[in-house]
Amino acid sequence: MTDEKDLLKLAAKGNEAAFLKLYQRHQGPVFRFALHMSGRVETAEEIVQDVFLSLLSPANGFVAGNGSLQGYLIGTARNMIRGHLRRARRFVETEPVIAADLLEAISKEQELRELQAAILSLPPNYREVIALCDLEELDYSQAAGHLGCPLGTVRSRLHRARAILAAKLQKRVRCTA
Amino acid sequence: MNEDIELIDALRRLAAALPREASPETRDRLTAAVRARQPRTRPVWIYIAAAAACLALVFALTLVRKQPVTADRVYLAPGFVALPYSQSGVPLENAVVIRVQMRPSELTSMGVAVPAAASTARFNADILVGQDGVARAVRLVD
Repeated sequence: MTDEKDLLKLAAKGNEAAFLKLYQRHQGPVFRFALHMSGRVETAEEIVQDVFLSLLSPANGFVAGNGSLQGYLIGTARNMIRGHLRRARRFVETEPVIAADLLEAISKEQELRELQAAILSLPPNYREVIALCDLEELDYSQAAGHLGCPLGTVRSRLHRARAILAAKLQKRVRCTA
Repeated sequence: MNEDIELIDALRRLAAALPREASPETRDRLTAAVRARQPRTRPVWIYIAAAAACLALVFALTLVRKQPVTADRVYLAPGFVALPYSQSGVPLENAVVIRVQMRPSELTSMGVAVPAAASTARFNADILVGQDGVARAVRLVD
């Protein structure tokens, strides 16, 4: 999008209005992706900040012809989250601590907590497709673009991820029964 | 199939229950970072003041160059050797150079190198004397 390219140039030069326009347009998807992947609001906020700061850098790797800005931002967030997960070694053991008040406010609170815990215990490859296709409701081609993999890979990973999730949830139900 | 639909439905409910956007604090921090990148525009008077300061500096340097050579400069001229323990606090303003004949041993004691072969001969030397009458430096003429 030429408009975004211009906005990006202006933002890099310190134009606040241009930056805010880009930020308002893209921070939501980046934040939610980071949140679904990390399970922590603080981490998601940190990722959003780092992603947009890297965008301001003249050395950012965004090339307008190579894809959408949102795809680039999600890709950057994805790399940062992977680095973060590697450092924190938080693949399985993390207890979801996000939005407890919100979760408690809805009727099937326990079920949603378990679901979130199950998502966070998925390997990152599977968690990414769940975050993008099921939680963010992107179509397969958009998710494939963001993840930089073929459409068939997204479909198969999603199928497998859902199967793992269903199995994990059933197991939990059996354990609590 | 039903399980899949239930799962997707639960995932959507989970997505709806979670925060949708980053906090305003994050936006503010980033906005501050953008603001810091703005090129600072300086008022015109700063450029005028800088130009005036440069002109003043050039003028001052020109004045310094036009001043007559002072005793300090003579004192620093090549060949002169400062005499030990003769540096008084009185600045050199009206220094005088006196030509004298000195023995090699006298020159050596003042720190001036003398050719070893001429141990008995006398040498012409310039003594720089300050307005206070204190000899400040010596120079071998021959």
